[in-house]
Amino acid sequence: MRRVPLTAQMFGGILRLEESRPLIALAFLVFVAGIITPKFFSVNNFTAIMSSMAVVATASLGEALIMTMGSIDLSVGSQIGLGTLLSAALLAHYNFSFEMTLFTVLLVGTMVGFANGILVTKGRMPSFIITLATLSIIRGAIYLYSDLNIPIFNPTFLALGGNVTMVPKIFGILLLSTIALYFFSRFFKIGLYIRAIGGNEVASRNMGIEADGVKNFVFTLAGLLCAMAGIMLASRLGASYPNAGYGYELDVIAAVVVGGVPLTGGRGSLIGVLAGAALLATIVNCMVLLNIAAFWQYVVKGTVLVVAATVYRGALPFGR
Amino acid sequence: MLKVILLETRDLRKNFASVQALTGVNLSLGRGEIVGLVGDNAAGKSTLLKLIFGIYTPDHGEILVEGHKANFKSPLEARNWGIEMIFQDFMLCPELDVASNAFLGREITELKVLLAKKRMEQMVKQATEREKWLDLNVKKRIMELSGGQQQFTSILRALMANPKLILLDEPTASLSPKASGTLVERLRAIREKDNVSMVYVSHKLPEVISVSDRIVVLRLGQVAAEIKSEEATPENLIKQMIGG
Repeated sequence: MRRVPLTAQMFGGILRLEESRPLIALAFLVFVAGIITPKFFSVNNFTAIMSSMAVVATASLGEALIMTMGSIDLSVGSQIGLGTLLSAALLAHYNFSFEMTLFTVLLVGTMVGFANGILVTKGRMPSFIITLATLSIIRGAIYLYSDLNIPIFNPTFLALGGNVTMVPKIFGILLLSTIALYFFSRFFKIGLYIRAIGGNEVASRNMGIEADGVKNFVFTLAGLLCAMAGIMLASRLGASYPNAGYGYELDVIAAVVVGGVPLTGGRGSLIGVLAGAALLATIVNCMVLLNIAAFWQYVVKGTVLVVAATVYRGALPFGR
Repeated sequence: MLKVILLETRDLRKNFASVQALTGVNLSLGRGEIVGLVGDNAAGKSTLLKLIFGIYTPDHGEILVEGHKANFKSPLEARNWGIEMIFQDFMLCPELDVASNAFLGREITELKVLLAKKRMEQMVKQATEREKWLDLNVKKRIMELSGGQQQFTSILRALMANPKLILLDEPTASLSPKASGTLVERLRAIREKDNVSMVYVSHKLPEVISVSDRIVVLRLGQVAAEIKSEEATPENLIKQMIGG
């Protein structure tokens, strides 16, 4: 029998364990950031944090569902890059309308996710290997299409990267997506199946759950979310560049792990993952405000990932 | 009195690569009958249960349930026919609570997709009130339970489905002697009340003798002997198991 962690005892009635820990960490970080960086508590700064976290957080939602299921998707960065490239290329090179661009990018993203799912389930291959391969294939395809930046001039598309009373539109889309997926994962049968498969795939199959179907669905949904993240990135930047999304898999997986989803799967909360993404974005924001060299961001992100994984494994206090 | 046959296997065979797990098993089970299945390690006991439950598909032979061919392709098909299985290693999802595990794979839903969580918890509570020996808190996660309580959850899951047939694979391996005794007692009571058939696999021979009406001995993937439980002793079962 395992002991009930302190955070679960304190917040068990209000929040679930997976949600309470990253939210407490985020609140603590915001408090510390406010003390050490005087400019932190300004509306403009919060707008910047919201805007910068939206892309990674949106992709993290899909990754969180995949990791809760006990799988992993390493190709998220390339999928985001593909979404960004397609958005720019369809608008600039093929004169697609705003609506047709969104539809096509989301459709292609969904198909890429579906392909990942099919390769994992039909190929009976570990998701780690399959998505490592698709990471490389998609990135190669991006470079093959163009090694130049593609600027976007469509005003409707560019407006997507703007704000509504200081709140970035893409952050609003992220919030709506989080709420929808949170209810989906907690109250729908398939949400339970995702956790069941992550907890014990053999038991789930032996109890009659169509694990392959659930996996295909989740990878497909994650592909759609990566495409959305790609659109967000394109609208923020007003262009596509060949390295768009490069290395984002670290940020996305870190947000998911910091958000309380264990690498072994079985549990997780999308609210926790949102808090995890906000926490990472806040750390980066503080480092920028404190004029710390950009390369240190990698060191700090990696360290945060190790600390979070260690805490959740129970090797440090407050872990389970 | 003529026994109504619930389950029948005809010349059931199963190979795993070059290993012959079952080499032609013929078995029949009456409605409301409890058959003990014993055998040495690798005699094919678990393989036989998994074939009946649809986890494996037979290479050859037929499984008939109520006279209908029922070579199930998945556990879901077997469960839809009223067959449940209790596993030695529980087959539970550690992060989910007792109620979710008790209904795993056959959840109660509203509008087909929304989980009726409260209703499921209520039904599990009612079931644990009926079967008081299953001392369980429906909201606890499996990982917070002892091995015995985890096995109680898997027993509860089988009972909640109102099955026609329960396949039990070493169900008392994680239970205390007292809990094992209670389980044996309750299985016989459930059989009397609901006319449920059972196939009971265990290495604990006195326990198999006490729970079963008839005992089938498997040796090298075949039925080596069938013995009425009142005539069975651990010694003669062992003799049949090792072929002495």
